[in-house]
Amino acid sequence: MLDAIFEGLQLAFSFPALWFLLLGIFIGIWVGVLPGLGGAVALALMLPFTFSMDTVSAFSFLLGMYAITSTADAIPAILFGIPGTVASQATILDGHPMAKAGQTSRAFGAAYSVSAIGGVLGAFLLALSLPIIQPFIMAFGVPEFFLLSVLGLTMVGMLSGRSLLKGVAMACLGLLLTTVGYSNATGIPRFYFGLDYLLDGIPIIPVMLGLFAIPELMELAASNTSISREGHKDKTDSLLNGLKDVIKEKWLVIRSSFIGTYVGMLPGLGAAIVDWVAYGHAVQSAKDKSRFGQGDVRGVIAPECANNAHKSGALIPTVAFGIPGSVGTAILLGALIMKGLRPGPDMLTIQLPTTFSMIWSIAIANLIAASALFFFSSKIQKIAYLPGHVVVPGVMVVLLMGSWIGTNSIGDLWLCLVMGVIGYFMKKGGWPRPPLILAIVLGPLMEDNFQLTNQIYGPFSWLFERPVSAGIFLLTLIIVLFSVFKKSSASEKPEAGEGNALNPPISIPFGLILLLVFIIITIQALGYEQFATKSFPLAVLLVGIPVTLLAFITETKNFIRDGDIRSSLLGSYSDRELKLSLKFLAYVFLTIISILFLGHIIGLTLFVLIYLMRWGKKSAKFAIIYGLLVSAFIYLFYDRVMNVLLITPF
Amino acid sequence: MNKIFKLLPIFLVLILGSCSNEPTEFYSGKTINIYIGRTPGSGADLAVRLFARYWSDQIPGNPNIVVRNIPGGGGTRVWNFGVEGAETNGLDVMFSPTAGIEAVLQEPGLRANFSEMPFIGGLMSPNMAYVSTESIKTAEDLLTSNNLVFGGQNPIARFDLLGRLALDALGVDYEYVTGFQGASDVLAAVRRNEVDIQVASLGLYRFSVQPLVEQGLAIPLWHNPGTNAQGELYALDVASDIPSFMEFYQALHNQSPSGEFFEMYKWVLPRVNDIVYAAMVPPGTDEEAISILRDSFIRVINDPAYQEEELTMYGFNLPVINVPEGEMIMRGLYDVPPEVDTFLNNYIDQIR
Repeated sequence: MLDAIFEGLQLAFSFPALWFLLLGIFIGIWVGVLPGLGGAVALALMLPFTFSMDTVSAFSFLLGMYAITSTADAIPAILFGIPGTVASQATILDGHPMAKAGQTSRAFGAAYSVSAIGGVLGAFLLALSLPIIQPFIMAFGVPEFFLLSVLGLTMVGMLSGRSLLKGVAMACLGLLLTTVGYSNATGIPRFYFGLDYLLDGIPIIPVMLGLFAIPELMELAASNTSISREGHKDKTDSLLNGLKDVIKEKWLVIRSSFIGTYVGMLPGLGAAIVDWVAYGHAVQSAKDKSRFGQGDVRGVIAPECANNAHKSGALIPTVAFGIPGSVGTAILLGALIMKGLRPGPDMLTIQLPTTFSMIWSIAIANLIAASALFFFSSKIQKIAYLPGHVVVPGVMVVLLMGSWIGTNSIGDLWLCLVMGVIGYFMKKGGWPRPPLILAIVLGPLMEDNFQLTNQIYGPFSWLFERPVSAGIFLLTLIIVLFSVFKKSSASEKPEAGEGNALNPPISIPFGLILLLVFIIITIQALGYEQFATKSFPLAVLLVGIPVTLLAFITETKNFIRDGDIRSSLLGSYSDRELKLSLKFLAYVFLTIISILFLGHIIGLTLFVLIYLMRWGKKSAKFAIIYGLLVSAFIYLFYDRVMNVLLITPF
Repeated sequence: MNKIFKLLPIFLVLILGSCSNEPTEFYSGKTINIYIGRTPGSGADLAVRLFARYWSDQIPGNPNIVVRNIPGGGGTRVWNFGVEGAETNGLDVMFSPTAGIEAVLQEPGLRANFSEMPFIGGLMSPNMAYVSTESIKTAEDLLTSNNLVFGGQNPIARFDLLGRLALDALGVDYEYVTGFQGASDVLAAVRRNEVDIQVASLGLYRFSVQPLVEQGLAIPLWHNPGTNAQGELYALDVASDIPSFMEFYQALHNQSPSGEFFEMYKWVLPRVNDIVYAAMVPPGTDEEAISILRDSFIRVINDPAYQEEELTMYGFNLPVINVPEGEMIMRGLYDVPPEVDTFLNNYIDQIR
């Protein structure tokens, strides 16, 4: 084994493999930074270039790219509140508030260093686990996957802030959104309202970008302040302090690495889940939870560590069993085969040095990427101090392109806008957004595995016959009871999460609308004949309707009891804020219309020009140069390099 | 001599005229967009990208070829784009998994009529069935075992439909479990002993299942055969190490396959399984472009470099579907006898 480890190291450091690793890292950083692309797209596009490479070089190149997208994706997550890939969704919860508080460098320092450590620890755990991992993986069948998704949902309690009811209602909405489109179990499309766009379900990227990024950009445009609301660097803001935070939280780092690696080993759970699991663990294990959601560095450390460690873990089922757990690992599996290697026992015996060279490549890539990003951070973090009007157009372009990439449909842009509006009112009304996203991530896993469990094992007997299932179920029960007990006994003590905002004039109508939506969906679901088609949405609604009703009644009662109705109504919104928010939404709306008729390049460039000159009051020269750069970027990068289908004029 | 000079202008006109009709002119300096209805990195995407890399060299004028993804609508969006949004100038080619069963069942969302789209060429993706040895030790045990679990992805997926029809034709006692997200998830369930039987692509078999067979953990059962112009089934050369369904049936029952389920299997097979990746252009596309694309498609198939790379990628060469075969299959999607329609809808609804 030791020989294989050193031989693997030698291979990873051999030439030209090392050059290809560096090239892969360079591309991976770009892919991670730009929302919507993700590692799988880059791997697919770059795969043909590996055909002429030797095996070690090919994997150095691909793994270099694959491993570090989840390091670079922290940059947009922290700076703009936009997850670069699905693996950094949870990072935005505390990363972006840190940037707003003038702690950008510190957040970057923590994210980069912990990504490197997570990647290396993940690779180390992967190496250790290789010979003994089979029983662990095989112990997790469909009932365990179902229960793991339920366990994941218990994190709603930690992400709901003061109002558990609102958090649960949002999670129910998220679960229902995942039932849109073809049901896997029956092949029958649900809740698609005759729209082809909805047949494949609601894509997560536009939802995520709309829900989190549009409200942030709206505020930035309305206030024209810099991302860092302080306007200047905080004294404690430095990369080194981020590194110190990581050292201080060393046990959280180690635990998150374990979470990342072992969740990654279970094929099908996916990168989108691991950051939430780690974030939930960070909140749960913290003594003082009051800063979570407002810029707690532990909220950056845990997900960023886990999502890098996950990449190592995900290699195990791919290499050892030929079972890829994601599109990214499926492409790696394809590459493995094309290089004449066969996944399976051979990879753990006669090909062990090659397997170790892959592990080393991941570890080295993580270290190099983190060092490179450390080096360039002083430049990147300056964006946090630019005026809002300079930042908004560029970010908006990247955001709309990121939404578009998923399915190349104009529906993605409308969905992003609609979710932006909903996200804005959720944020203002204290309806927490993270439980909604968490449920969208977990929903398909939950429904598919629930249906499969029922078909394979029948109803519920498996719960008592399978020890791992029983263990996960017990753990879930304990967490739920603990959450409910804690919430009911909580005083005015500050809580983690987004649901702390008290804004009845927005919150109450929002609750009422949500209730109406649930009732309409119930009527539609009852219309489906097949039990398997309607059982999951109806089960969700069974919880969603009473919980939303209760949340609505509680809010209304509190409002009537505590509130000076008149001042609440007037105080919840300033006229100016409302006007500017609507103005921003109108800009986005008109931009989508102009994309539809004039194409991406002209539509988005027009948005940049008009925004900068009319709203930003910038000079024509500045706006034109900015617009030209945007046009060139869309054409050269998205059209020529990524071959993204763009709408052309008329 | 004078005569020659007199005729020279005529020769020149003829030569120039023929030059302008040279296919070299048509695509020279142009860009062909190939649209695929799957996400980047999916099996179909990689197959089409591989083909596209060799296509340009075989098209006179060596146009630039760009592959673009239009996923969505269960794979139907790209075909709708083919009849609603794509250009007819020969520069837009849809090259994607066909939605054969969706067309037969008239599933919502599919507005393209495949029989009206000029067919350029097609590739078959052979597939096969295997069983885990956890439940049975020999293929013959299939007939005596009870409650074998057949795992699939959804009731209208081709592997699910063909697998069920084949198992029913054989008379196997099985339970159908569906809803796995992908073929790899079914394979993982087989490894965990939750599923016994899977219909998988030959590629998945070669690289992920065959090692299990070698370890004695799985047994290959049959491969789904091809259908010739006369409607007869034939064993595929690329899967010669696995019996075809007819051979497998014969070995198990000592007679040729027959019965309602087999007839339906035979009807469905060419429509959903023979063309997996079809290249087609929008109706009304320039005839010259169609002709150039068809010729060059075949040249790619015969290109030794392409064949070699395909062999590395799949472990075999994907059988090709020529234009007459392809057009016949596409027409067949819209020629559904009422009894077939009733049978299929009932058969699928049993599960739903």
